[in-house]
Amino acid sequence: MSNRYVLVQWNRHKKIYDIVTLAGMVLFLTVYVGAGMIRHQSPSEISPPILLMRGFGVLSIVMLHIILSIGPLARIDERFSPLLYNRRHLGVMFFFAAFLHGFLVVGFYGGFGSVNPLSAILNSSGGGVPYELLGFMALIIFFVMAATSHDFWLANLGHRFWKAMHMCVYAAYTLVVLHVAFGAMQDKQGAVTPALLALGVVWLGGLHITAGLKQRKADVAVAEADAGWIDVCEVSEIPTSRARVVRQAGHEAIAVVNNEGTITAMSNVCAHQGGPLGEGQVIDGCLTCPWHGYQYDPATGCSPPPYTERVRTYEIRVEGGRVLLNPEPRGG
Amino acid sequence: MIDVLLIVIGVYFAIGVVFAVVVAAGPIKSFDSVVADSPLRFRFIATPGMAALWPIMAGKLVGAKNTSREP
Amino acid sequence: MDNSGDTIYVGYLPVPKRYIALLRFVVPVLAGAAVGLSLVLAFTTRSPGQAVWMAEASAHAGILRERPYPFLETTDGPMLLVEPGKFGSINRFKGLEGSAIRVRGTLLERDGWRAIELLGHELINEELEINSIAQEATEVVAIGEILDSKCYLGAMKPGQGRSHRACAILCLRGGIPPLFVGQTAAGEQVAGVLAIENSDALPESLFSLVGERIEIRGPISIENGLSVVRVTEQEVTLAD
Repeated sequence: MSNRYVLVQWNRHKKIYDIVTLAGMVLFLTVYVGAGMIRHQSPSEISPPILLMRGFGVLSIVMLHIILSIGPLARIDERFSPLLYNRRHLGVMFFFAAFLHGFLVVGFYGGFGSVNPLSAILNSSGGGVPYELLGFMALIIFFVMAATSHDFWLANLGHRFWKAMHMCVYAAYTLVVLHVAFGAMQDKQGAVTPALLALGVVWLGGLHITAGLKQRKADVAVAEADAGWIDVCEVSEIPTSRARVVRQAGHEAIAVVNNEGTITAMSNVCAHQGGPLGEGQVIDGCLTCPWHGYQYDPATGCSPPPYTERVRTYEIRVEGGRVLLNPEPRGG
Repeated sequence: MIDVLLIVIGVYFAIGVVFAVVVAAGPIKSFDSVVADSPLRFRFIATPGMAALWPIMAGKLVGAKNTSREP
Repeated sequence: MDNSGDTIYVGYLPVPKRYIALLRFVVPVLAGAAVGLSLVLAFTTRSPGQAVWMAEASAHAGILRERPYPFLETTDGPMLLVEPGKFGSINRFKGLEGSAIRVRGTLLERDGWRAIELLGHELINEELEINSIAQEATEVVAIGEILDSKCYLGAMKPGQGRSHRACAILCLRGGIPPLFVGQTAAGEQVAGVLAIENSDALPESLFSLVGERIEIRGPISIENGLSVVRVTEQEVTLAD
């Protein structure tokens, strides 16, 4: 999966995914702008650039909620994982929507004056909450994320650093919520905007908590004090072609795999994007990551040739139907 | 205050853009061997990220040169 | 791989049936929800109010008044004079107080207030007979908003509120006449150009109050047909 970099490793699913996403974005904007033009007509129409900047703003916050919902949804019900597969494209398209929102604001509200447009926008908070600056900071985070979404960056930054950097999306989300709460929401009458914003925050919070609880239930948690071999579970508790995840405080999570009755163990962290290997499945003799389909031989932890990815493996002993795991990785 | 921030961000990205264009033109190959086999279009998509993370990439570039000089 | 059973989804393999079933349900529901949401949001937006910016230029003759901000005193009432972009016309008309002039430009109009975005002006040799209304000052306490007159009268719709604040500050910084629109505790509408004592533009110290709910106290009068609220910097405060 890392023979050479291409612009995008296109396949049919990605194409359908992108077409559906783009069509959705166009539909949303068209309906928003169209409805806005019907709702308020001349002489009390909304200026077209303002209608458009609002449209892109609303579109991006809706997309951000969808993007942040996909991860936990796929953990709660794996049938959502096709949405996860191409989430990076969704992220890049979201960035362009958010960028156009900012571009229109800076150009229209900040332009035509005596100071540079960006400075005009960011310097206008007076004593109040600088909601424009919050939006700008969020946009910078989204830019860095979009610009580093290619596999080249995963390989060169290492997936740990890459993942940590991309977790900044939650900081950016907080900035966006404040940006709306202290900005556009102040201009609206009624409870619609505050209610929708609160609903979004509660929805995402609830989803993440539910997914976390579900994962905790499925995994085997081990206290750090238990040195030496870990008693994982009965052999029968690991379904064929599936895995169970062992979590030990201070250690990397380990996927214990049942490959046609042969129990082996390897790191739970995919070498590609850090995906949860233990939530994957053995396909064609390889444990396959549920995120992007990277594969590893359960015995060696190596990707099948010509791929060169490799994850750590662990020693397993089966005694009296129980699976015992040595938490020290093979080869130190 | 905000104008100072804007200047800092502007200078940072200006350096980044120059760095990214120069690196994409050639030295990018030394980051990882896979790049050499990749189409030129790929380098185009790598430039915005290099403009954003140029200090990290510059560090890697220096590191890569040092190791390649070792016998 | 077969497409049945509990096979997981892998991007480069055929999609198992149970996944397709869910997607066929989720994607249309999501699209429907998105359409519904955009309709709700579009239909709950506030009206920006009736304001018109004429597309065609027109010519108007009258007497130039430099203070508190350049405006044209005409038989049809006063017209604020602003430049293209976010600039006032203080420099253009320096020293022309009381001159008869003809201006050409596009008209902005809202609630009986007018402004002209200037394309040009010329001095004219005519005796103009204009009987503008004048009214003695009365003290007023009112709660409302400081606006930039150009946007509010139709250059931007909506040209008020928090979202528009950066633009309003930029306009006022450029010399566009500030307008106060609000009402008294008794519910009486108050609208007037905001003239700040010892200042020929809105001072920087008041920029932070633009677009906010503020209270002013000071005399309101009609000068050469133009409604003017005269205050000191201290008489403009955030309303609680």
